[in-house]
Amino acid sequence: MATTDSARPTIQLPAQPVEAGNSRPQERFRPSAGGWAARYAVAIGVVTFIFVLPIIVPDESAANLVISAAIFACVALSMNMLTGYLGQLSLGHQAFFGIGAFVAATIVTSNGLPFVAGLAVGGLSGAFAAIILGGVALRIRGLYLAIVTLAYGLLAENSLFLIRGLTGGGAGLPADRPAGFATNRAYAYICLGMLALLFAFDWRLMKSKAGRAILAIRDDEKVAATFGINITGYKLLAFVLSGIYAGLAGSLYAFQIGNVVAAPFNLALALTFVLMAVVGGLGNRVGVVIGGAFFATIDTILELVHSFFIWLGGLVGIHWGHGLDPTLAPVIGAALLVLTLIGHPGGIGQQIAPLQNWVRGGKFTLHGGDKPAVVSGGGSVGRP
Amino acid sequence: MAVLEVHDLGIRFGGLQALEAVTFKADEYEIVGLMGPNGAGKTTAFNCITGFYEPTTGTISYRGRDITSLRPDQRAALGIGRTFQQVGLVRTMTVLENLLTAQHARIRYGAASGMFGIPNALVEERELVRRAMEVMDFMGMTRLAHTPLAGLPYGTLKMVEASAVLATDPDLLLLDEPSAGMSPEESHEFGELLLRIRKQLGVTIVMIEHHVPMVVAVCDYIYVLNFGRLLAQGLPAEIQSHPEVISAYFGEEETYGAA
Amino acid sequence: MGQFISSLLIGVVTGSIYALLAVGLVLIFKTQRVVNFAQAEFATMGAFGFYAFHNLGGLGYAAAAALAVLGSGLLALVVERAVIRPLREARDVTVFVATAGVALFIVSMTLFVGDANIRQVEPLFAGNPEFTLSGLPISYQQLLVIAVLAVVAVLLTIFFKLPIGRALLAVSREPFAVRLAGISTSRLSMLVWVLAGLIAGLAGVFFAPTTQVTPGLFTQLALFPALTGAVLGGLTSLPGAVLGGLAVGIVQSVASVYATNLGVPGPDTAIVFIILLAVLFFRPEGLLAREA
Repeated sequence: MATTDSARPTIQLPAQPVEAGNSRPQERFRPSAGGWAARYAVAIGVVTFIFVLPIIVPDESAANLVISAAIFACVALSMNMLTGYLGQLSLGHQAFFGIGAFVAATIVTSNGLPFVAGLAVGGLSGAFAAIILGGVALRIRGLYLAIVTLAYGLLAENSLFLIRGLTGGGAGLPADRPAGFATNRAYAYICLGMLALLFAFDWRLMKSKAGRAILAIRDDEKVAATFGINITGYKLLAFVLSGIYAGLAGSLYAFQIGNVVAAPFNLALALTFVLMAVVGGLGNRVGVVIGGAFFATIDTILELVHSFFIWLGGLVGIHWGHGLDPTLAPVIGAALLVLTLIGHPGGIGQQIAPLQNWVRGGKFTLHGGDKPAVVSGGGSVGRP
Repeated sequence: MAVLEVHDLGIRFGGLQALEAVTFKADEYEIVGLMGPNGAGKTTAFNCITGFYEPTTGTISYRGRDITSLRPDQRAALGIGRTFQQVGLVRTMTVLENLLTAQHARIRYGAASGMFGIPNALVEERELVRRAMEVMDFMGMTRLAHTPLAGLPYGTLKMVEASAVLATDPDLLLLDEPSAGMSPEESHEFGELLLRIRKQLGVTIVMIEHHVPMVVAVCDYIYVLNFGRLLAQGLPAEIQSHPEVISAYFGEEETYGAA
Repeated sequence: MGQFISSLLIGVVTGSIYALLAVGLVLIFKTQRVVNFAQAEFATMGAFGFYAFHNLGGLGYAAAAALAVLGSGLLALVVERAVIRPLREARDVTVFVATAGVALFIVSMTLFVGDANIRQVEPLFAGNPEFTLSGLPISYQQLLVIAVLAVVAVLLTIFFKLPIGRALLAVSREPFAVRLAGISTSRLSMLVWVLAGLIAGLAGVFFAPTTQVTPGLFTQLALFPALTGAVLGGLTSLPGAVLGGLAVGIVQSVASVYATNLGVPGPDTAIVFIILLAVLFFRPEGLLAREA
């Protein structure tokens, strides 16, 4: 050893306050009063349009589409929580959704509790289902975890949902809507209200420390820990919140269809959930909501597009074939998923980002807006 | 009392003894250099101090408290800040957002209050922004506040990283090769900045550094690791003339100069 | 005891399918770090291709089988060029989602072009002769599936002794070195996918007669067990994939025989889930991995 410790000088610092500097942040664009008015008008217009939808749609079956769109949008927020914010791909979301539906139906029908209790317990059961998977996610990451989520969903689909004592087997569990909300138009308001609630909650969350913690964990767990973020806690929080969103959506779905059977909660549904989150734009709240609503109503949208073309053809004297094959929608959905990943990883969210940026008080520029959050996968396997 | 005391630290990975019986300390307001050839175990030692690795033997104490069994985030919350060789930042965020995230441990409102938008939380969020701006001001980064990290040059990222670590309000700073990739002038400036950080923020610093002029100019005391063991320790001038260190480390100086 | 032996044999048959798919999954994962969700659909397409060429097109058995298998290889090649190639810089989970999209696309395409009806694919041996083992009928076609696995295993072993096979293995170890050595990684990637497609096609053509062919058949039936088999073998070991696939098939078959008494629905999924979690928790490097 070169020296003994006694030769080491002691450092003394005078107490000194931090000097205030004088550099200023880059001036951000601030819209004029008229600019703000235009932005508020657009925002209020969009929200108003969504909330008058149940009234202005032509009939009850169209109002049912609004319900589906709202419910799928809630699921999209749930997918976004796990896959977009936390970066963990979930291929088993039919489990959370289905458990929420069955539990809500059980609470209301078998236990005779009110609708609100059904929703609450349905949401909590989704959280319960998710936290089990979250526990697994503490040990297993990335691609392997994605495989586990796939397995989890299949287990719910092939085992849990078929237990006669729990789910009523083939006959299903009836779930009646609360008094006064029997019509689709009225029930649509409950679903839109739930969507608005989750949307606002999600927005606040991502503007607070929990949201930043979850995003930091997605990007780099080591860095997050260095910032003092409890990885285990916030990972589980993201799973729990995702489970609650999906459980609530499942509960709403139970009362939408009125009789819950196991059949719809299959792998294809889980893939649809992935689809709408990815095409919607992972990490972008508005994008995934649009994605969810789009895939909930894709059949009708295709039908409308189809009849529009027939009408257009009729105008110029061309007669297209009639009738649209209902199996076309999934083909288009799957193609959109692959094309989104290859060509536009930011999905719908990235396309509308300039508009969002403008409404928030930025300048309208096509190069503004958020960077897409590409599905990330932890560190267990890396690609060369 | 020493700010950081590492006693008899040892860690094995499979058959490899990465660190063995390493003991060192950092006193209040000191800038301590950790040197040694590549693979000597310097970053491994950092990973043990910050809690990413669980040492096989030895203890790590922070201000007299044994922290060997704490989680990384708990150690960070105590005031141990750290930078990484590969810039440790949240890449998908802006500079300001990174500085907000970095303040996580010092936020008083609960996670739930934030989610439900409780007024307290909103008020404190504004306070966080103010503090982030203060740090950026100190580091001369204010201009970049709203810039996304993607696309920023490496040198700038290093400065952002340093700002983020300062935003965690550290008491002990662990810097892993802070001047890597910097030109001699830049690293000289960075050395000045470190002295200023210590003086104005009153922190203790332990840094892994290869850049000899900077180490000599900045560090108060130096430890040299080689093959996972402590090879030498002393004042910068002594280390420079230490025969074993010269053969193990300074003998290869050209290699490091080129790297 | 008799019941045990027959369930064992059935397990080996389904296990062979899992193993064939697992081999394809491992080939692709080993060389490219991609988990191919669409692997099982290559097999379904083999079965549908055979049905189209043989039942609808009237081709002979051998010609139809050969064309169907080649068709699966071609499909894999198209997927590699159209989807995997553009995503070579993307994160592994992104590519996984993309292959799930491919699987979804293939399934919905078969539903769109054809219909959801059940198709019966003709077995190799006319009249589908059977023998009885402890009261359980076993068809020769089912034994043929095991033979296909054996042949594929032997062929692959030979293939990896050839220079091209060795280059392929080198890619999985040192992608950079291989690029330096002037071997086209792009061409090797195509080769791997075609190989995986051909193997899946074989599985599809020869297993199809033992069951009823519907769109998405192999994804429903075999994807998850095959993935588990591959994980069991460590995801990068070809012998591990064969043994893992067989093991999953056997455990599943034996367990479902005895679990019917428990009254739990879907014991076959549950048991595979348990295997998967146990491996990932306690031996994530796979059962065959050597000690480091």
